Amino acid sequence: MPAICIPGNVGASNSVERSGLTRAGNSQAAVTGFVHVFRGEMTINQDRDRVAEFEQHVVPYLDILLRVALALTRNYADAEDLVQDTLLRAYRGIDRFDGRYPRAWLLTILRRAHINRNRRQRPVLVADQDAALRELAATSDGSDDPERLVVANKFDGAVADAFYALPESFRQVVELVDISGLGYQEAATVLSIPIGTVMSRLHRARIRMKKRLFNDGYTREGKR
Amino acid sequence: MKALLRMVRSTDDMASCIEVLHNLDAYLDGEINDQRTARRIAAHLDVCRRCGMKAETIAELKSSLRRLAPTVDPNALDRLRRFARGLQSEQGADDR
Repeated sequence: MPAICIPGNVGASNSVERSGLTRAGNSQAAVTGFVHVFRGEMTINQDRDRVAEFEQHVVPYLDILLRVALALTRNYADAEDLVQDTLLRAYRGIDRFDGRYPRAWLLTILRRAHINRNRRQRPVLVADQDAALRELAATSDGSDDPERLVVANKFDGAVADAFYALPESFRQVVELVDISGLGYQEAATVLSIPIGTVMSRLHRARIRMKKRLFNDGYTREGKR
Repeated sequence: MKALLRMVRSTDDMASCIEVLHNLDAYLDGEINDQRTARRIAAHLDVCRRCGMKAETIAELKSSLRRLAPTVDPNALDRLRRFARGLQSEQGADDR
């Protein structure tokens, strides 16, 4: 009975195929499940790695991040917000971080976060960062300026005066390199300027400060 | 001319006044990566009074500026540490 056999065969065939498909399906399901489990494990492991890397590469630099944020914002509250923003961005991006030069990496993130915050606060793009920083400094009334501490030592007082008399663009480089202890490249990253500009501004700033200290009788050496 | 004659000339072991003046900021800022150059500058500063005085002035300036560093508010640091740990523990909670 071909009419019966054929369907039977077909059925058998289908059954075989189905069973084959089922086996394949099972196998696929098993693979998929394995992949899910594997991916799940990977995700958990990656997350653990992320937490460990964050602890290792980010947390130790909170102090310097806060100092640099203070130099950029000139305000404690804004500086703290900026560092929080930086931490969040660093946490999200730590998977893409290769583990080398964490301080430079964090300072780059901080710099971008600072620029973005300025953009959000001001509708016009910040084309001239020095002008923007001058403006930021000008809007501060100085009462919360962290550097304006009482300096007992006379020489330190004269140095502080010379420092505050510097043009803003010079003062920022001195602040980052001499006060916050950043390297030239790190300061260049934070200020988005070439390293050569950092060096020349630092040199010229020191000449100005030395001249002033010399004229006020604090040093014997005031020129280059 | 006299000033030029007074200048310490370069040798294999010692930098000249011109080399030192060119690199003095970078040297005092710890930015000279070449050990030989750093040693030659150090050797020069040991013997040249003029350059030594310049170096001393910059070093004093740097020390004084360092003392201008604002005291970082320990409470602010604590808050940031908590914030950082919070990010990590949120991830930990997601894992569970």
